[in-house]
Amino acid sequence: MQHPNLETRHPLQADEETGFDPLHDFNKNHSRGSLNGRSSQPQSTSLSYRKEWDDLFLNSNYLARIRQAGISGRLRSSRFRSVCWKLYLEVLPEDKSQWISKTRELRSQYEKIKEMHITNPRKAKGQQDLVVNNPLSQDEGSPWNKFFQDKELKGMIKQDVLRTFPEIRYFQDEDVRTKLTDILFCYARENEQLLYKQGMHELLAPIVFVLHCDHQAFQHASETASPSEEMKCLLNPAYLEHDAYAMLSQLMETAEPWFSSFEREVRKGKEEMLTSIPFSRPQDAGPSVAIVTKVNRIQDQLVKKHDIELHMHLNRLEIAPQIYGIRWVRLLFGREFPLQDLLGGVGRALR
Amino acid sequence: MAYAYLFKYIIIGDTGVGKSCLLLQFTDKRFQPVHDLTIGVEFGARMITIDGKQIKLQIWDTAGQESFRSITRSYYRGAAGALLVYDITRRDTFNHLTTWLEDARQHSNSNMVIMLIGNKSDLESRREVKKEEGEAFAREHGLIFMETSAKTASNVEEAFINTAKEIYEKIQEGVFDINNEANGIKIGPQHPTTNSTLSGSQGGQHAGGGCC
Repeated sequence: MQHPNLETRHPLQADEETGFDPLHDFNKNHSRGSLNGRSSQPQSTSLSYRKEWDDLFLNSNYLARIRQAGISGRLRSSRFRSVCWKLYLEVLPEDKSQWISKTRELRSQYEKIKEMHITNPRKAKGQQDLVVNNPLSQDEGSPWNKFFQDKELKGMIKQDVLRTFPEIRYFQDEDVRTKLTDILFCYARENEQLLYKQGMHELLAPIVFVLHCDHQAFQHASETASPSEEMKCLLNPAYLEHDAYAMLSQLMETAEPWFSSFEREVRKGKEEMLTSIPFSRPQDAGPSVAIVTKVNRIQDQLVKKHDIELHMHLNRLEIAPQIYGIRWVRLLFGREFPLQDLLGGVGRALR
Repeated sequence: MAYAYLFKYIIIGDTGVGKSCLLLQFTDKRFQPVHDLTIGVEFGARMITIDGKQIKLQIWDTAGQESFRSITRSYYRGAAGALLVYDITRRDTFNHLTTWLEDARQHSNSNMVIMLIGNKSDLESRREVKKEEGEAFAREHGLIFMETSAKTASNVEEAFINTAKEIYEKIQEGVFDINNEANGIKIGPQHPTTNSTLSGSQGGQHAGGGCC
């Protein structure tokens, strides 16, 4: 599959590790298209933008093809990566005629969710009885009770949002941080058994970033040409938060077990733990949590099968798979690569 | 590098109290104000000298959030020392100490030396927990206590080293059975040269870390 635009330099290809926001450069220089010298005229930029869309999605077998493109890393510089991710995550249906309606439906769902969970007790409707509805009320049903619980949860999320990709300027923006916090908060409230767990913030961040990049490209392309209705709807920057929420929710369908701390076995008693083999592998001592089972399997089976030497080395050094594996799996390898590589990688992992 | 003893430590406490920063300050002598939060468990090492003997500290830095508790618990076992950390600017992190302590005592060997640390002592203006409260808690539960600042490095060396001294004294007194490695203590290798391959591959992450 040949996409002329895949050669185009993407802002994410700039070196992130310097802490410099590549998007700044991108905005200043105006066009990704112009950077490669291929399409220095505004007209051809917009044409190529349209063509890139058509190449990706105007094909009877497009879904299989963009999956393949994602796996082989060819979406790296695509300006519609967020659309591809939505398709991988089934946030968008395969049938393109439903894209706009589905998008609107999900956005209005988030609108309702947010309205329901992010409430100001002073404005809350309903309970007007001041015995219940006052800040000092101990009543379970008091909107103030909820308000204080929410405050605690929000504080917990906010603390982690402040530590999200600290080296990238985009995530230092107060507005972006508020969006991340609100999305995670709504997710926690919608999934009370899971709530918010550390690591979710690092799954959400790349999603938000990819949406943001595509929105930037869209806004630029719209200056010179009239985009299609689908583009206008799907890439509307006003709905970044809504779309990110829908994508996170879908992603968590897969990732949820790695965040669960549900223990499947009764823990071993202290006696047994202390009398077991000295310096025995910590991975064998703990209770059976889904993620521990998973990382044990990675080391004891996958690594052993594919790299016996590495497997022996790890065992010799008594390196438990938890040390590297929990981070790998819970963050879907999000921390193991620089962000721009990760964005390609996550796309691949999704499919 | 050869060492006389290896002591295994764990660092525990609520999320955001500065566990990873304490470790980084101790192993690398630097402070990183904003960093990725710890997912699961991280690892650091450094060589210190006590009583003229080289002692290697192997430190396990655990994630603070409750959801990791069931995973990190298994690291309590076989630790000779624990740094239990709270944030002097956040009362709730102090209030949770009892839970942490119960958890640590339940899953570790009874001789484990526990150092209580009130971190972020540089943020005096935002202090919510008095130093006396920390001292009282430590006295009541038989812990050693110190206030530290991972930012200014104040008392960081002392916290790690004093814990080691206490463990070392217990060894001298015969409290620890050093032949039982479940106590978190290993006697150094008899033939240091056999360890050379390990030191080569482990040197990278924590520059001050020495070898394994």
